Amino acid sequence: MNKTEFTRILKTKISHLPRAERKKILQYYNEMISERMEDGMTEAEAIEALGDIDELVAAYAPAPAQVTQRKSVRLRAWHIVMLAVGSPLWISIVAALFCIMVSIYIVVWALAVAFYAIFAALAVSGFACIMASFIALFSQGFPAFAAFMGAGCLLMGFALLWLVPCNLFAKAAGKLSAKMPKLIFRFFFKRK
Amino acid sequence: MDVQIKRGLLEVCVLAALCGGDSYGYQIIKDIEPYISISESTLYPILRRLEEAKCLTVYSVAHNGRLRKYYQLTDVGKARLREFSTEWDEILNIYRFITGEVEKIEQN
Repeated sequence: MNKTEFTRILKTKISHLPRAERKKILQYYNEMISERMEDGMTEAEAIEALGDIDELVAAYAPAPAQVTQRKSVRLRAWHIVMLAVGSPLWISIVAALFCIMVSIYIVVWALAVAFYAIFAALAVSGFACIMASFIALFSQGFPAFAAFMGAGCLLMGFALLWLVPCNLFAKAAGKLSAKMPKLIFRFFFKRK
Repeated sequence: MDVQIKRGLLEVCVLAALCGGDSYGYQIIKDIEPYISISESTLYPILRRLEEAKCLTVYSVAHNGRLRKYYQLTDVGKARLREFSTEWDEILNIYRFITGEVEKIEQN
């Protein structure tokens, strides 16, 4: 077994412990393996010297008073009755929360689209002005050309500058969309 | 050795291993190995318990591109060791009592 495999197995076996505790245990064993390797053992020998992982983990589980495992939910008869009786209330609450979540999503993405629309408007009008400037050069002379060209460049410049916050916002919106389901899951199914 | 007795002794042994100066996990195991065998998995909860009881403090030092945790004896830890030393007479008394009683079984 190598260190990566050992760490992976150990991680799954201590997954019931709080994160801070898990980190300390993993750091400890990593250190121990490194120490043994410095002492001359190979990685495989060092890991073997640690012994059986199950025995290792059994040594750590803290006293029952400290560890509260996730209780297995058994649906009892009275649970079902309560759920049914309370359904008008909790169903509408859940539905409302869901609608709120969906509307937040819609608002955020609509904003992102609107920002890009602004970029498009600036870019297109800038481009149009530049094109128009060449036409103006022949029909109305140099001052008109300069005016249109100037306006066109200004608009293109704004468009490019605007692109930066536009992209940042879209990235943030993307990150939020990804994190939202995770946050909600964690909020409702907290690990004790 | 009886598991319970060993457990009681191991904590004091670990503290004793730090009397000569700050040490790290693997070195502690090697230091007490001649007297009492201890594995990494046994040492970890002992170190955690001692840290919670404020008998030792922990700090990290960079070593060969990684961090090595060092343990340092505190005043509380030293007091615990002294307490153990003075308890030795009491322990000896109990030992004599037990062996005396055991002799009675042998004689009968």
